[in-house]
Amino acid sequence: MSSNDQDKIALAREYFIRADQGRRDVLDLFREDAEIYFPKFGFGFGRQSLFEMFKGFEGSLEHIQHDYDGLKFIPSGDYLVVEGTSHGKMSGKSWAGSKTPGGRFCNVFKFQDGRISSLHIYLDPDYTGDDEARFRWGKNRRW
Amino acid sequence: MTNEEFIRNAYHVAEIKDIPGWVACFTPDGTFTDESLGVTYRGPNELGRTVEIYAKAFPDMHRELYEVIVHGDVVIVELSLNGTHKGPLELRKGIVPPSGKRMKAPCCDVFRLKNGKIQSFHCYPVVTDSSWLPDETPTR
Repeated sequence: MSSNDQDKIALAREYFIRADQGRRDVLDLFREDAEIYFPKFGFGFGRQSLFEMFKGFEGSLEHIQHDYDGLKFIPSGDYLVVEGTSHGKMSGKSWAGSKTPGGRFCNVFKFQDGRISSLHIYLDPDYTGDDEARFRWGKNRRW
Repeated sequence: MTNEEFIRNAYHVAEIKDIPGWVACFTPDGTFTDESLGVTYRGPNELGRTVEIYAKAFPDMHRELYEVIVHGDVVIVELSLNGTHKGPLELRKGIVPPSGKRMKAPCCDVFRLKNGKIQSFHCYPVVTDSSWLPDETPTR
């Protein structure tokens, strides 16, 4: 793994930490014109859109933490793909990726000039399993 | 054939509904996990059924590939799953009747290859809404 790859991984780790802590300086990791994608939010253009996306969770998200030790980093060129899980609490209900249905994610980061130029987040935004109708296989499963 | 070519061909095989061909893309112990459901499919019957079921429900299913990222034996694809819900969707707990609705679901697939075949396939589809079609697929 090249030092460039290590730099990208360090930056991605820092993103998860700052995002989990709700720190405004998470934006410093992004380029001004960064592109953000999140399910149901769609696209945001410009790094401030990251906060627009975060705002959608205001009043419901009590806390979130990505499981740093279990992150799988896959660097390639300008990209870094990260598979992982998160745990947290929303509207009084908890989730823990791999233990509950919600909380598994795959992030695709793209980098330019040492900062994040785009971040696409793929996950089921139904973190706490409220979407009963979609549990077609029941809830008594391995997560 | 490079790993990218192999995976692009695997999508083609699924697209033309070549079930034996799809199963043959996997190692004998290969798995396919739908990460949105936490369901893992393994073995020729289960792996083949996943393509069959969705081909029946979405006869015009098209997988539009946007970005292919390769790191050794790992291939990641950002794509959208496009199709019209024209046939019955057979699921383990019942059948969802055709709705006629269009689906264009963003998705990220992570393939890990071993000896030139798929050992694991993690699929992260954004198909969580009963309306099927939030047309918000990432493109670059």
